[in-house]
Amino acid sequence: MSFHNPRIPRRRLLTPGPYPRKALWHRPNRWRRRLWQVTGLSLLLAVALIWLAERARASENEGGSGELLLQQADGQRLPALLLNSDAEITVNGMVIHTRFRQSFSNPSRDAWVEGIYRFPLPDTAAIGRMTMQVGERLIEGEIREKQAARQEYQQAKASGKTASLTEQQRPNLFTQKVANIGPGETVTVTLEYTDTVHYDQGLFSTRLPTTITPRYIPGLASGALQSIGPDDETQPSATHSSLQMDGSWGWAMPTSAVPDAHEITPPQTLKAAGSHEIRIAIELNAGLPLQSITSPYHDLVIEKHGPQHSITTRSESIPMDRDFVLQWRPVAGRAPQAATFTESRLEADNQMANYALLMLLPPAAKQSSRLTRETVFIIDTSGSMGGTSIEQARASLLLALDRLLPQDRFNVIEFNSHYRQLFSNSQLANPELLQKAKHFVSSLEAGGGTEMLPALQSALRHHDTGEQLRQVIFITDGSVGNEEQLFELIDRQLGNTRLFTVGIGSAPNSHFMRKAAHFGRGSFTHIGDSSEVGAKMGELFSKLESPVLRNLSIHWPAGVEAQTLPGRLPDLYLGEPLLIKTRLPGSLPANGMDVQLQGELGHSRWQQTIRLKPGADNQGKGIARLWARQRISDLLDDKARGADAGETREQVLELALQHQLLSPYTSFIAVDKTPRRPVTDALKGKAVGNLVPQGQQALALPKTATNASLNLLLGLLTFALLLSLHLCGGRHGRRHD
Amino acid sequence: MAAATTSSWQRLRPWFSATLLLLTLWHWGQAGWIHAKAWLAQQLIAGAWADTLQQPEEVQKPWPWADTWPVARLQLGHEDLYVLHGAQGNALAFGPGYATASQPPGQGTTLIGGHRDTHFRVLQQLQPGDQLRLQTSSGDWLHYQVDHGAVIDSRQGLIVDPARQQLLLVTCYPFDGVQSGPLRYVLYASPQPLPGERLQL
Repeated sequence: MSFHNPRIPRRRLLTPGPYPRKALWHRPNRWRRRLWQVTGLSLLLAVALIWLAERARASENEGGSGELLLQQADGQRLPALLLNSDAEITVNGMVIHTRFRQSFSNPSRDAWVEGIYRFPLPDTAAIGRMTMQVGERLIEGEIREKQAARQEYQQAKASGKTASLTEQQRPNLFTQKVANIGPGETVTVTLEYTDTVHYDQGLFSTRLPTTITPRYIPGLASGALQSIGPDDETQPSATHSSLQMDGSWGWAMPTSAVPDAHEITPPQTLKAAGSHEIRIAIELNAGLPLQSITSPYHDLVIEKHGPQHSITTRSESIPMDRDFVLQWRPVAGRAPQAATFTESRLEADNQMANYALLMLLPPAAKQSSRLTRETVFIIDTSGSMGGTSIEQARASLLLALDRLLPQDRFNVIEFNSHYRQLFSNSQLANPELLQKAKHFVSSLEAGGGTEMLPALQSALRHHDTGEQLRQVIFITDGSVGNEEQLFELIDRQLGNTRLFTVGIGSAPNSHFMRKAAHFGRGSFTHIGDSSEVGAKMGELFSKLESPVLRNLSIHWPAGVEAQTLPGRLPDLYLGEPLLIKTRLPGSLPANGMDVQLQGELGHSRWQQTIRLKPGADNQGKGIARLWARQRISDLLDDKARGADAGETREQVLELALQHQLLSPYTSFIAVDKTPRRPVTDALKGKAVGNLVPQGQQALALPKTATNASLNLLLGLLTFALLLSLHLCGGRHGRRHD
Repeated sequence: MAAATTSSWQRLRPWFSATLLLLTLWHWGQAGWIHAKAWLAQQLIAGAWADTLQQPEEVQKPWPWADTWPVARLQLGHEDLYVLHGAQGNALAFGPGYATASQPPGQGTTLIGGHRDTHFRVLQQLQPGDQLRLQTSSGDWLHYQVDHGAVIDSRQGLIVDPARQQLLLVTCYPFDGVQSGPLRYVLYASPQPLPGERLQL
């Protein structure tokens, strides 16, 4: 016997017998099993892939609506409040009347909303009327002392009445609050204001700002907001963390230098479809034949009807991301040398008074020889100058350097959080130093804070320059919150220096430009586009190099008690007209009266007479309001010069209430009579942001996902595949043996 | 025919298994490497930061071939992180990155980005009112307090006032997401004056 395993020939296994039957049964089963495996795994894979895709899709959708998503703790998003504006501008000679509408639309289906919107208007506008439209109802706004208006608004808000409040934070920065805007509703607030046309270098213009460049807030935080006082800026939902930026407080805390910082720092938003658009329609009645009507930053459509022009922008509405400017130039030789407009008004004491606007363009005088000068350039390189602004600023400064003569002395100061001087003292403008300066300017980049005060202080530091002219040219967007502090400094330290401001960017702070130049006894100009640099700087230099009309005085006929504004007549540079507003008690004689103006032009005396006659047409409408607005401006200037704050407030308040004017101490309030919001429904506060000024950039966000999770997941998948293959596949192998 | 398929499957099966095993190991290795790199790099950067504090004017690279260097130290929650220059992939793998387009710490709006899976995983736990502090290369500690968090769409960029003093910490959203999407979570923090520094008028 042998215990050897009989060797079975391999082909025996394949011979017909019981095996084939079994194999035949087995095979379909194996197929079915494998089918199950494959199907199962494919399903698993498909589910995983769908899950991944779904994730990606979900994240795409969440951000696609074009608005900032403000996450709340309960996971909900705030309903947006849409804002659109409409400006109907009528120009009559030197006077502008504007009807400015702001519509707040609540797209929510169930939420009641309060809108809080900080917005800009021209810095010299006299805002004299406010109305609120809720559905079919038109409610006339009333002028009130600021705190009284706030109280009235709070009461109306709490009781569910639709109400609107318009406040002034700066001469060119206002707050519109609208409480209880119902679901799906639109509330429109209309402001009416009067302004004067800007006339310089033979060119008439008017500027309508539409957004606010974020203001830098210097100084140390002065503590909690709660300590501000009874102005009740709080709102029901302000306790919510996500709402802090979204609430009415603004992004800055009050500081020692800017106590109202929270009221002038609105959030910024991106352009969303259906919001932040303005329609502009202008009726231009220039009163003289025109050579051209242009807008430097927008395309226009102009229709001529007799002496009048109807003007709109080419696109029906334009995004509110930059100032709108309209310019018109009279036909050569027809530029007006003098103009007067009058309005009579029945005063509070039942006496008639006449208000007059006088415009007089002094003749140009040629300088016999150019005096040597010391010029100090200050260039703002703060963060708000980022984007196209810094390019315009650099180009302006480089051009200015080219204009210097070798006998001139110069220096350059750049500032952001700190200031830096090119030279410790002004140097002669020889080619070598000029080259150094150009290199310095070309390398300037925007970034950091806007600590203007030390830079200005350094430029104005008293130097005994003797007979030499000393001029400071300040290139900035004026985006600061401490304007008054700066005006004080300029007024105090000016001495023999003259300060000229060059406003840069899409949305400069025009109030700062005008007033800084006013306190600096210089002039101001705006550059909003690189293509304007050459022309505007050229104009500025012809002003700097031409004789100035100084020591102006105005003389009325004996016995006339005229209140002429501005109280301190400015120095006039080449191409600048004298624009004065005056109040004359009683009525004007039918044949008018002669007003005499005197001054010094270069080294000679200048004198001119202008005849003031009662106005025939309605071109003088609104002069009284303009006079009152100028008086308020003068009083506030005096406050910056050190006048008593309490006394200033009293005087401004009386004037503003008398003339129905918006001011730092008076607000417009309109309240609907009937409560509409059910007390059970909450009111959500929604800050309406300002668009990012054109030319500024948003920060790019980094990519912050790794593939770690994806790798982990894919690893799991392949591992599962491997495991199932091994388990199922292994069993077949064994059976096979 | 069926028999042929079976036998070829039998022949390929070990190869399939091997491939799957390799893929599994590779994926897990990748994931592990990302986390290991993130952790390890921070240990190496600690030394470079110490050198930076000694010589702030000079760029101190954490390892000789590094294309980034520490610019700040950030303490938030239980995390102690070294912030690197640049918020691109090369820096973010090793630590949170300072976006060079933003302002330096303490000079305006500073933006720091970090990976949601590694260094900035901690962001989802931070609540308004939480304190965090940041050391600049001059050695000064800046104190911040979390204001709020917001989810924004990165395709539009983040609009900020560059001049405003604030610290923005950015990471991907949703926190447990697998793929890289357009959403970001931004945590806003404002400077917090120390008790002694308040109300200096």
